Amino acid sequence: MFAPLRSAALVLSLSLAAPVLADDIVLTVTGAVSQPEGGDAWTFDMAELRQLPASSIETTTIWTTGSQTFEGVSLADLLAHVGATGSTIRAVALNDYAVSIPVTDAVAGGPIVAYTQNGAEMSIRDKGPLWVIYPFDDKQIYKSEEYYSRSIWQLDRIEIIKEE
Amino acid sequence: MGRISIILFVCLLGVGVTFITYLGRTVVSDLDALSTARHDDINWNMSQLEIETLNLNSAAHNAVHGHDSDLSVFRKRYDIYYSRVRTLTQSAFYNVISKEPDAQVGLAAIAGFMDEVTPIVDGPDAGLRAALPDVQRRVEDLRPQVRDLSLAGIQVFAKEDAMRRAALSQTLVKLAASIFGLILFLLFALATLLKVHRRRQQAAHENLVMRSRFEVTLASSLDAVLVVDTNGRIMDFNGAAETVFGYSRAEALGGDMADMIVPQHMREMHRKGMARFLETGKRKIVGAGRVRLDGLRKSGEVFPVELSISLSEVNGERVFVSFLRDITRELETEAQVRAARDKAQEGEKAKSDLLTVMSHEMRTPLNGILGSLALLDKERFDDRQKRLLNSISVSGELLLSHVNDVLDLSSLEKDAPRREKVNFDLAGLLQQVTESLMANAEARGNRLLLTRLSDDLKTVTGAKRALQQCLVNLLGNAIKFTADGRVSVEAERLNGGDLVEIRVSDTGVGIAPENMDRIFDEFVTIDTAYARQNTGTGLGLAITKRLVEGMGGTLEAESLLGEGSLFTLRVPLPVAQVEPHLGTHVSSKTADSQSYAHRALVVDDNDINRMILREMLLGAGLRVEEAADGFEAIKHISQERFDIVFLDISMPGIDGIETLHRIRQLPVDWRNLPAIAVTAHAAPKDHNAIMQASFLDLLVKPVHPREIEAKLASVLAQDTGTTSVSRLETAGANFRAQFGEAEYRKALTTFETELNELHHELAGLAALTDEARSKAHKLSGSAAILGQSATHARLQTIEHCETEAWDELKEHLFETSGKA
Repeated sequence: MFAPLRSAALVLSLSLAAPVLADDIVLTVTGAVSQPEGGDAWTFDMAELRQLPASSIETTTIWTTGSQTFEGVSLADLLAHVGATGSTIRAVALNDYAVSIPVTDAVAGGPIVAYTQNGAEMSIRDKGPLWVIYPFDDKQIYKSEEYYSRSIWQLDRIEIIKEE
Repeated sequence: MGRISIILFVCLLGVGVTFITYLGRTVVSDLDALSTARHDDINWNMSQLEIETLNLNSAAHNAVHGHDSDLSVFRKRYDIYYSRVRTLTQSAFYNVISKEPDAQVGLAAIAGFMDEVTPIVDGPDAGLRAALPDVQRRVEDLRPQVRDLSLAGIQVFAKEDAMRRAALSQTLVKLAASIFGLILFLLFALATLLKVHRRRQQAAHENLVMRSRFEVTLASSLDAVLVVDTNGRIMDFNGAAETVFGYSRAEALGGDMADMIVPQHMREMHRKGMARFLETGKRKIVGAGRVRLDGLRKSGEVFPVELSISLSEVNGERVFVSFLRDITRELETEAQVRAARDKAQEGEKAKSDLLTVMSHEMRTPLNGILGSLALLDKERFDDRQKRLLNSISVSGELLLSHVNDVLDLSSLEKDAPRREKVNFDLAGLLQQVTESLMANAEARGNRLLLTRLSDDLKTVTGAKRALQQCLVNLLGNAIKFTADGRVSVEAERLNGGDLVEIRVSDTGVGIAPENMDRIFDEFVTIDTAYARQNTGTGLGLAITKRLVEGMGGTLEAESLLGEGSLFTLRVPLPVAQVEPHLGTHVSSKTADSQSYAHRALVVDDNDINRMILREMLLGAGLRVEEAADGFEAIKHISQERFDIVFLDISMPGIDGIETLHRIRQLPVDWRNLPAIAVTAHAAPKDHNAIMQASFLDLLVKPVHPREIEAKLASVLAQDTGTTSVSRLETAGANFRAQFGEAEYRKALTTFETELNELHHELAGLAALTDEARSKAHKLSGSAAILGQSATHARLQTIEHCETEAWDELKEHLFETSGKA
């Protein structure tokens, strides 16, 4: 269903800027993924991410006050997009904080890689530009240290690890 | 277990469960709080803050020294640092840590740093580049403060964490305790339930056992058992009831009791009784024990039953439990027994009547035999004839005593006269009895001794006749069973009280120990050679014992076979308060012969008896007329004066009692003359009837001359007025009886010689001398002994004569003496 759209986005991105500037890249995906076009790793700037199917989550978090609306690409969509075949997602933040997220977390209605909070893009100071958000209010199990630790902010890069 | 305990148990259980539920919830929520972290990992954030500060410092250094020409790396590091600080200040934990004094310093330092540096960072590159060295210095300065803040935060967090753990652990302990308590309680409850259950089981078992036992009892009861409700419906009907009434249990159950087993004639009464009980609760038959009623069998047969009904309660409902027994057999047996008893009583009465009649019929001819014997002048017979006569006499007496024994036994209880209490001279009685048996004793070569060990045995009160008979029996026995030995009688008043002990001992054959128990039984003759020699009815001791007990005394026997026997008789004989009755003094030896002037009438239909009595009265010195029946007697008395009348009781025509009654009605001065009944009826009831009439006394046939004299003495002494004279006259007879006619003549001759001498002496005397008086006195004594009453009187006059009156007396004396 998304295939034509994805193709469209690809065409668009290719037409917009052939080499994406390093500074504009907000997310790099490596590891057990399909071969990206013209590179070793999947890189995304904000526009490319926005071309991916968007998902939104309305939830409270322990780091914020009041209910927040986050919008971004769901982890499941992102993994599908990059053709991830691994079992673990190794996520690393700008400050080199790293956490392992099992790919089993990447389900529909599961976590997203948020790029807006309450409709506004997030600066680094606001834990942006990318923040992995779980729908904490939807599932009790998400309200635990384990999932809090996986809610990595200032997400910078992802490595898909294939464990034997 | 009561309802209250069950409620209590449930309440306690509820409370326990509620409390545990509450604790459980607390634990769950606590655990929840632990599992769902409400805020981020503070330790991590704190250490990250330090690292970010270091990173920022490093970026600032690099920027200063030109490694970062466009300052983007520094800016990024600052942003990250900024983000970290915001994360910290926005977290829930910030509220806690911001209150800590140690942390406040660090926080304030960070805030100050940010406030100053952020505008510079956000400003143009030139400004930032210029300020970088200063920024780096400031970051350097900030590091130790961030370090302090981090440490403070860790401390606070650790403290809070400890508190949470403590709270949780406390809750857990409470929960554990509560659960433990609840478990204990449940265990206790379980134990209680088990106990109750076991008790229930036991009770149920016992109930079952009781029930089966009851059922077995009911089924095996020999009595019919019916359980009936208050409507009269049969609720239970046992095997015996089936047999008795003929209904099967199945037929009987639920049936109406009144219709089934109550006979027609009792049904109405039964229903009324039932209705009355239900209305008023009054019971008549219920609970009244055994009652005899009639029952009805299925066959319609009415039969006697004995039943008892009790009221019981089953499941709160009242029921009647009846036990019934068919008593047809019992009643038949009872009737048979009653008939047998009546027959036996009739037989007993017939025997008694026969004895009474026999006594009369036997005593009458015995009277003839013994009376005739007594009147025979034995001197006129030769020795052989005397022996034969003696043999007749002994046999007759024996026969009489047997008849008396049998009669005594049958009449002891009713023998009022014999038990009548009189005052009498006990010593005299003992003497008399002993003397009367002296001859018997001597005939067997026995010595008979009487010893009085107390002085106060003179006048006592008691049943004289009974005592007399006892003494005669005991002494008679002792003499009978002793040969050439000694029989002694000892009398003693015990401790000066009422009890008198009389011991009769002998040196005879004795009684074997095995027979001691039987000697007082009736018709017992101990089977010894002596017993066979000595005839007897075997009633003597039995009668004696009965008599003694009738007097309120005791009789005991001791014996050594071959050594002798001792009979100890103890009878209450209190010392009499008044003088003894005159009549009791009279014995044959002192009896006075009566004045020849008295006239007696003898009335008897039996010629022999009349003749004997006449002879006896003549012998006693009376003039005698005879009458053959009551009418003749009345005729005699209405025409002539009599001093005494002897009346036979059983006579054809009118009997003695009626005759006397008519005599009392006669219009003559002497109609109240003394009457003596003469009868062969030995039974006491007859005696009572006789004494009810106006008889003065009673003689039982066969009559003995001594008894006649005794009666005469007591009856005629009262109205003769010549007692002293007649007594003196009798003295002569006594003298003759005692010493014989020859001795009397001899004494009389001597007396007359002396009297003549005195006569001569007195005739010559001018005055009465003392010597003469003395002689007169001496002779007057002799005259009294010899029965010379007239002479005695004259001698008395002389003896007491006044000296001056002598002449006159002398003249009169010699004038009259000449006539004498």
